[in-house]
Amino acid sequence: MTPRTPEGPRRRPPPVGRRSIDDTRALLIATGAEMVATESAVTVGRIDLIDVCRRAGLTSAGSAYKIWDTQEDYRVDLLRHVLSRFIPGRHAIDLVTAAVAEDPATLPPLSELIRTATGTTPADGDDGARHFSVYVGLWLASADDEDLARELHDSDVAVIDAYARLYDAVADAYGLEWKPPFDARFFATMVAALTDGLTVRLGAHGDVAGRTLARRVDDGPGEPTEWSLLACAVDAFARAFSRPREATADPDALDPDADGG
Amino acid sequence: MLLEAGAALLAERGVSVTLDRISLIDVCRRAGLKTAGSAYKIWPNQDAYRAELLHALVVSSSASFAAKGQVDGILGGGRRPSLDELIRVVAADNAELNRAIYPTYLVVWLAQRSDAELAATFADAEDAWLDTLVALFTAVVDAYDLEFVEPFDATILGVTLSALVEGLTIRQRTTPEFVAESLPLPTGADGTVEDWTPFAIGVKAIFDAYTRPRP
Repeated sequence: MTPRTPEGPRRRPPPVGRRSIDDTRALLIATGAEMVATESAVTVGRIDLIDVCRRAGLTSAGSAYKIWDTQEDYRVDLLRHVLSRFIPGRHAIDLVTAAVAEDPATLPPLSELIRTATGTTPADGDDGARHFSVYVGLWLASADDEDLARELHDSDVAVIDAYARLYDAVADAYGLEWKPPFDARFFATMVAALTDGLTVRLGAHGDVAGRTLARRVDDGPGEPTEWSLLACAVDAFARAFSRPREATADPDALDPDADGG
Repeated sequence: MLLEAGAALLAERGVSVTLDRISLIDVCRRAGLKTAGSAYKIWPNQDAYRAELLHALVVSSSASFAAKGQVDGILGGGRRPSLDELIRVVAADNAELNRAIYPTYLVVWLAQRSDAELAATFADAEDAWLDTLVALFTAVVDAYDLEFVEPFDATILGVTLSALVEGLTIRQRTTPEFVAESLPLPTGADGTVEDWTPFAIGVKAIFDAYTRPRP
């Protein structure tokens, strides 16, 4: 009997001689991604297709060159694959999307939505930290690698745009608007920057960056709830960069008297 | 001199050279020394040199020390600016400085994740960095008669703001179109518009949320 997985019957890797182009492509991309993750992400710019083929158990790179015309073509494909795994906070996107799709009457307080949606980031477990290390390696290597810089840029633009659409939907659901000159992309960029930065901090001061704080907020439950550092800062940004939609008479983006100065 | 030469070598080769492959002989050559003999009178072996180099790199790649000096100078001067103005000016300078030195920091950050000895050196330098930040924010809060809103404190503020400037430095390179050099906000006298960097805007938002006037 064929063992089954939740996705369907488990397939044995086809023998080398009968491997389809799609199988070879998937094998070489997966092998390259593993090399990037486990060896040194900073060497991705010099990843060698022959090495990848050898690591994948292929006797020559001939079949690889039936798929990619050049090593550069392979590298771009590999980078796209690696970067596609850096879509952060899937949990947060799903949770927020579900919340704002509900009946407005049942929406949780905004602070509660922020607290729960950001609760699992940036830590996201060891896997998240490992992925971020790869991202940092790619970021460093992109300083003198135009192809890599372009791929990183396109990947990050896609992520920011996806989050900006989500934050616009949240603002709509809660009857908020962005204080000029801010917008959803600015907010998304600030949150993404904080997420990245706190992940770096976790690798330097995990005892502080990984801490949760018992905090009571105006629009939250009466009892203190546990907040990550990221959630606290995102809550501060939400309050500073947005306002109730009807309050359009106030032109100030930030209150200049907030500190009394 | 040899620490500077090592740092220069690392910067020149960028991330193509991993830290554990920095050779003291290369460093001596770079520094204009004919042999490595004098270096080995200072460090018993290459690992000892590497540990000191990395410590120097971590310390020098922390913009918090420069910010502390700048804030001390401003607070100790004659006219004390508003907190907004302090944040706007110091945060802008800090973000600029961080942009220049952050790649070096990240090289060390990455390397120490898989090197226990380096991790210990790194942790010591990070502790010194955090102490500086805590002293900085404690001085600012005191100078402006503020207190922290519970449960925040100078440590939380320091780590959060450091994370923000680091993340913005990363984003500034990958998606510069989303990290504007500055945004105009009506924070000047009589509502005049002033330029705020994204980092300064974030610092103000977090400062406003985490502190309040002392009763």
